[in-house]
Amino acid sequence: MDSLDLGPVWLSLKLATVTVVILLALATPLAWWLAHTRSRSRPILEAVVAMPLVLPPTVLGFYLLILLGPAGPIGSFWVALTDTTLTFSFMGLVIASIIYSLPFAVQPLQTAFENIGKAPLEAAATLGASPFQQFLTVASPLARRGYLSAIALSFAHTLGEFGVVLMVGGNIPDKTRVISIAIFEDVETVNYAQAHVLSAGLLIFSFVLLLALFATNSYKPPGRAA
Amino acid sequence: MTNKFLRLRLSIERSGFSLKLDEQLSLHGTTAVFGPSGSGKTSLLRAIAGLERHPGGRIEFDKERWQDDDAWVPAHKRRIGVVFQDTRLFPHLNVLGNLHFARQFSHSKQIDRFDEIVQTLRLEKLLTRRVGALSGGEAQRVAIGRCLLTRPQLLLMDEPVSSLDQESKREIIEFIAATTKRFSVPLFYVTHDADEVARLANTTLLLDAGRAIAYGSTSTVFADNDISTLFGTQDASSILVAKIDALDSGSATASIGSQQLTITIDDTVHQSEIQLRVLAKDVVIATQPIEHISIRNTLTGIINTIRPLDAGNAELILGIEQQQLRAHVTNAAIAELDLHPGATVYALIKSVALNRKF
Repeated sequence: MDSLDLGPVWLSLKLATVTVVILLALATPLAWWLAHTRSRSRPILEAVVAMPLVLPPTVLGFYLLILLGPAGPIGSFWVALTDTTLTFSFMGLVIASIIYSLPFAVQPLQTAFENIGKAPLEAAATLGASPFQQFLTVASPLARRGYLSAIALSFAHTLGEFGVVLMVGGNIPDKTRVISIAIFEDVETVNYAQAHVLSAGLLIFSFVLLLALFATNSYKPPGRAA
Repeated sequence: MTNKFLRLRLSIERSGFSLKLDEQLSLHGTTAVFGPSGSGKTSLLRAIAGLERHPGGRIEFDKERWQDDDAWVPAHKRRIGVVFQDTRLFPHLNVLGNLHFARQFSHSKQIDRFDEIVQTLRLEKLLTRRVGALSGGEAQRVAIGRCLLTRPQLLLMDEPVSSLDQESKREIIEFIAATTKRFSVPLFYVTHDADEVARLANTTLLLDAGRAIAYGSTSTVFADNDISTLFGTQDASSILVAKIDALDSGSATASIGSQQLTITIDDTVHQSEIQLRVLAKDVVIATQPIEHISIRNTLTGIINTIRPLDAGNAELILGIEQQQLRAHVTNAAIAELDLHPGATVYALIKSVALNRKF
């Protein structure tokens, strides 16, 4: 047996971290808007955000491959901009992961913002806080548990993705070969020892993460209990 | 001191509810926004606060245009303080945190009244408490302190005591009276309780079904309008304005014109004038002065009007030293005593009925 290759582990952690950071920046305004809007387009957007929950990863991967490929609208733009292709690159994986994990970030945040309601924000407004200050000093601390859920779930979910990564990223060591791909390949090549180590590692990590999440009562609505 | 005004023109239409107002409201002292539930009190308050924006409305605070066709000042720039019925303290901060929150947004950094406000509302012992560990009355005291810390130019209170028990109600009403006086902030006080109006408000805006029925000094509004048509016969009442002549441990001698009254009153009262709400059913009418009776207070007046109430009862409106007093009597009594407009009568009021509820 070869010595354990930790490359996929670091790559997965890097991918999950970058994805979560970008996701939070995107999901916060999106979740805020969904929680407060009275627009009729809300259900449409909610459905779009939830799509990755129900679509087979291969379907998502297929469309992403077309979009991000050198001939696709986003891919060709990227080629013109950077002279590199998005598909089969780390950057391509990040974009795919963001879309794939979007509901896991948006939904807990949206629920948290909805539970806070308008009342504390109105109180803050009458005390002189601008809308941005209301978000910063009232809404985001009250949504703390929603943020914890969003971070833990989208991090774990990104670590565990397989189908989308395979279709968009392939299996390039140190570039797109994340844990799940490495496990698949280890099994294909009957390298069960390595597959065991990676699988058990991912299993234990995911369990601990979710345990920590549930142990902090993340799913209780924020507010009164605080 | 020149008087300032809040000028407003509002027209709100929602399914099953409408509010139409065109008023110029004085910003002197406390104004009760008074009416039965569903009369539009809260909507009015929210529009003044800038928490709701209704197209076509105009709101002008003294010389500041808060809302018209091409101006909109958002709530956080209006320099108002709002005390909500449900306190709306921030649960992620303790009492001190809530107060500091307001302090950081204070409209005047130079003058810090933190200590004075904490002391006036007796918040010293609550500062480190969690918001969830406060009683209803304590939470409302913190909420009042919190909004005073921003040094608002106008206070708005939306039924701040209606969810409290009677004892806390009394306490909070006293704090409200004390703080508005001490910090001389104009207050718009939304309520459906006539006793709160009598205790706090020198001016009353009477609302019903989204329309202003009356606006003026509280005693005049109560003299000119029969609030029992809005709240039920039990609530028929007058508000008498009396001057306090002398205080003597728990009771006071007060006068209405040249006539004297004895009333039970809190020792801590610092007013020279007091508004007494007298229920029409608590007034007994006699055509001769009565001696040897336990009732201590008798006012002499003239019957201005007699108005039938229902099958067996009528309401007398008495003129007493330029003021009005409503009294409910039976038709049988009217016939037997030969009560008629112009007749001089004696209105007997039990001291207990003159107790200030707040």
